[in-house]
Amino acid sequence: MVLSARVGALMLLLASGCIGTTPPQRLAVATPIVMHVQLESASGEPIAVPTVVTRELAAALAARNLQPSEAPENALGSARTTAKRVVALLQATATGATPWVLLVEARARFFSQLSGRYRWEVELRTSLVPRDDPAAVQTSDLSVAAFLSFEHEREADALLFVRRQLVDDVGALVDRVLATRSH
Amino acid sequence: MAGAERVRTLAISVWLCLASSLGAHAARAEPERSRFSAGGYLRIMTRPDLQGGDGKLGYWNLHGRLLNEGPYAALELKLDLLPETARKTPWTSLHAKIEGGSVQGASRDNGSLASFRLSQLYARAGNVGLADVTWQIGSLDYYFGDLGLYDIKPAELFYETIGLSARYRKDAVDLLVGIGDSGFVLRGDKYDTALTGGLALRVQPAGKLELGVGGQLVYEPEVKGNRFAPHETPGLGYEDYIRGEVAQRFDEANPGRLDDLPRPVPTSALGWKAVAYLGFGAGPLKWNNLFLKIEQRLPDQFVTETYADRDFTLHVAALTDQRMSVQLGNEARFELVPGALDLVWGVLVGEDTDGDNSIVPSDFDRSYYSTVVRLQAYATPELHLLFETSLAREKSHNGNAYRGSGDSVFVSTDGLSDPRGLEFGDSDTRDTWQLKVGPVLSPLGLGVYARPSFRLLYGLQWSSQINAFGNSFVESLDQFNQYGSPNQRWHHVIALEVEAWF
Repeated sequence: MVLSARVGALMLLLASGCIGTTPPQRLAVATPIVMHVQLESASGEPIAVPTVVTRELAAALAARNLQPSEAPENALGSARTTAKRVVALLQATATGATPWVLLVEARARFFSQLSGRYRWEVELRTSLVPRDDPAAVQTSDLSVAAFLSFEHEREADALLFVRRQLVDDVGALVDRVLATRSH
Repeated sequence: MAGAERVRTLAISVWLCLASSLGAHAARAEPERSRFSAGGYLRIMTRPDLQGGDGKLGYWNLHGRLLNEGPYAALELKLDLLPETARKTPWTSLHAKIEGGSVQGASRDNGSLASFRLSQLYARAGNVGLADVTWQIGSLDYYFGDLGLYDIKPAELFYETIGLSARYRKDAVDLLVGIGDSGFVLRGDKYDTALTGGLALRVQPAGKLELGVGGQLVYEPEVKGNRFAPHETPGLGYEDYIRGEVAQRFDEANPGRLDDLPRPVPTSALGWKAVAYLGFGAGPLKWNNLFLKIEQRLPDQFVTETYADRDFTLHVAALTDQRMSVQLGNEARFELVPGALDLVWGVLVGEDTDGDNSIVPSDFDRSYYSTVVRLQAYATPELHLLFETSLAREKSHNGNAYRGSGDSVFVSTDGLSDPRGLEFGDSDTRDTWQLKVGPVLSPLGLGVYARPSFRLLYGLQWSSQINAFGNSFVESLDQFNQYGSPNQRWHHVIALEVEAWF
């Protein structure tokens, strides 16, 4: 009985461990990358990004042998479009001359109270820009829902809720670009 | 900036702006989104029951919603007619919600669409006429939050109401005022206008402190000639009404004068509800929700008695207008060991009183007390172990209401056999203990309420009432003679289920 219980637990653990274990693409040489995450309300007001989000993004980049650093807080200035923001980010970080720039734009909108949860929609766009060839910018769009438990939880909590999907999406984009570049 | 660098930056700008003007993907003011979106909720399970039950561990959510609820699905559709693009600019959206509790293979009605309803339909508009105000027309359902362990919303307003609300939200203040009509939900096919008005105020004086109060009035006006409007049939006795013997007694007292049974007199009716909410968090207590509801229910409309081959409509507003309900609920969420162990503790207390009724057990005249504790341990972010236990007591105010033994179908007054007895069973108290345990797979990671949640659960219940779960066992002496009745106080259930918001 005890043995079968242990075997069952082991099988569950193994099954759990098999989820999402595709190894990330790794650069042969450690490469700097500057990143910036911009979170906004539905009406476009900037909101502070939880440090957990930037930390986990940095970890995902580090796993690919990228050396992330954060752009200055006001790097985007008053730019409102993705295109202008990419330009602003390139300019604001020009002195560092990092070969890669990563911009994550997130906008969270309240959907409704739904079966006991506060449903939010988080629109995410990730732009990965090679500094030496900005025209080769690669983007990834992702729309995910966040289900928050409390009224006082708002945009930052919604981004926290979906950070796993965000990190996976950023990782997939980086892997795609790195794989392309390695050919 | 070096000349070459300037040239390169300019080139980038030109390229990106050109791409923008051509509508390229990277040029939007925000991540691209559709104006239409849909969200929802589902839970589905299989719980083969080898003890004659219908798959639920106990009777209802008082023992925690886990294993005590059936399948459910909800779909909410939203269309942003005019998206919110900047602060204080007008926006508007349409919402429709369809929900129901039936799935083929998981419930008795096998996914019948008749079990689903369009439960909400409304339009919202913000910053129209008044800045920071959201107007809503249609369904007005509003609640301060819920008790997740119980799936109960004690502090809920306007659930039944179709009307207009205005919600002002700015900084720490959130004020909602609503008016409308609740008649269709409250009276169904016996619709009568039920004017409803109320308000809810929520303030957040500090980051981890919230207070809320609210209330609503429901008024059914007197309307002469409207048979669904509130009326009172004079001279009704409560016991005669309960037994369905009003016409018979009248006939006995007034032989041959059934036509003189008193005519109903129009009147008005008033119901009200007051709610309060306190939310706070500190340290390992991530958040605590405390809710209070006090409600005066609207009286019933009428009953129909058949006597001497004639139907008599008896308006019972005067016999059902003293029903009060008080409910107090609390749920505390603790992060005991970050990343390893969470705890949620819930308490629910209710007191229902019916001032007109002192003779028959009823859900309108009872007390209940419950506590539920859920522990969730994380072997990995995706693999959790769930443990939940609950203890509850329900007490009838008007005599026996619960069966403590197999032959209790024979007793109906003070534990004795009485063909005219109004009680049921042989106890006025039901005590119930439940245990639920099992592994949970959570693809999105940590959290007691992380969803989707794939669960394999074992549930165990002990109750002072026999067969205290949905079943098809005997309910009458006639059936008892045919089938007998098992005396099961313990109930075991194995459940394989999934729950998700999307």
